[in-house]
Amino acid sequence: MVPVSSTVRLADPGATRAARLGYPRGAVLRWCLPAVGAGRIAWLRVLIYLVVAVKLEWISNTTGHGTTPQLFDPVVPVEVLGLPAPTVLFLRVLRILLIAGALVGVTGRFPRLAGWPVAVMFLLWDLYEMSYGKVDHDEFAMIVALFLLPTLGRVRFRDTRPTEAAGFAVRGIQVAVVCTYFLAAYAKIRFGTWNWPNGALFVWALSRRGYPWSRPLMNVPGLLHASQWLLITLETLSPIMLFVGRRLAALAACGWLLFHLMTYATIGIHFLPTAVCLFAFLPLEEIPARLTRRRAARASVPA
Amino acid sequence: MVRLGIAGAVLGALLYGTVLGQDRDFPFGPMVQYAFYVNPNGEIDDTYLLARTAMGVQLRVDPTVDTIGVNRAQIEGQLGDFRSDPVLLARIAAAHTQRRPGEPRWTWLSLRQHVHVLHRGRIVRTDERTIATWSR
Repeated sequence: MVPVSSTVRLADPGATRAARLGYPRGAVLRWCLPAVGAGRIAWLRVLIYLVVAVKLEWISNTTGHGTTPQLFDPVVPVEVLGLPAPTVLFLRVLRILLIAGALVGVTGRFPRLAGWPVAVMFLLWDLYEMSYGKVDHDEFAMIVALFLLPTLGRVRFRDTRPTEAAGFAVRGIQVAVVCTYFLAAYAKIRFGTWNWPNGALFVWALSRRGYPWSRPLMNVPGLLHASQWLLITLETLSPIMLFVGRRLAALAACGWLLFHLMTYATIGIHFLPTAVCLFAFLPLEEIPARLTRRRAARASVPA
Repeated sequence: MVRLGIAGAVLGALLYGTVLGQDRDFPFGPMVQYAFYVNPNGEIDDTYLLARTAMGVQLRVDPTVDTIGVNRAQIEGQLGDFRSDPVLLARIAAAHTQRRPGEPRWTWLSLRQHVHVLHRGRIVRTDERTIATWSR
């Protein structure tokens, strides 16, 4: 088989369809189904299913909720579906099935057979987790990603052929990530008023969750004030990531990853389910070809 | 077209929840993480739980789902319930006994808050407040 170089222009079914539709419908379709190599889905499956397994094994303690049914305060979908308060046994079985399904998902084999049950079970797990008085808001992108990953069959890591299915799945995950940030800015104004950036939210967070090395930041309220303005500005501008070139979008995604690393280091909040979905902005499918080229370049250097 | 239709429906639900919904509309509720305003000349409440064993040993509880079946944020989300019905603390004690059978049982629980008073964004003093107390 002839190796496919990333510099070769591959047939792009999305571009063909968009050209037939003409402007503006073609441009909209092109945006919804970008030219993304199918291999990116293979990489995202490894990352996202791994995070599901890690979250269920080490982070999410929903099983313990089975011991406090009196504190069960169901979210709307749980109420509408008429689901009862979960028992410890039910949550334990659900957790084991989820971890097993996620580990199968990591292998990339049986992407639909494992992927669809994992998506449904994870949503159920999350609905229960959020039904005890506290809702986490870093889950939306992960839930969307889990329902998009099984929309493709098996794909290879080095597959740079653009397909409409891969483009749709990647774009869907990207939009879900941007929604998390942009709509968070809207929520700050809706619930915190236009005065939110001038409040003491970061002081609040550090006083309750700060570490010994991060609490001293409370002595610099001016820095925290400026950081609040910076955060809401970046959240408001986040949709730009969906319309700039690949390199700028990847750079922005790396910026958000650094932001999450910083919040984890200062107040212990990792936002991992959203953070892992940021990798949908990175050209992961080009990694194998770049590694191959680097190895070939090193091998050709005379000793 | 089916895919785009489903995507449109999901986005529509999310936008509805963002503009008009509440937390309970998860996963389509508003993204309210740290969305509330903290008055830089107001107060910050830091909720904690104290327990006393049958031997009279008092300890500060690490509120996690592993130890007591709920975490601190979830307790804070239901502070009003604890205030109006302190017997709910008995459920937490029972959950601790079930999840940590090898540890001494709790015979007294007190849900309290450190109240940090702010002036121009800086903490200038800390008061104490009791939300609810229960004893066996």
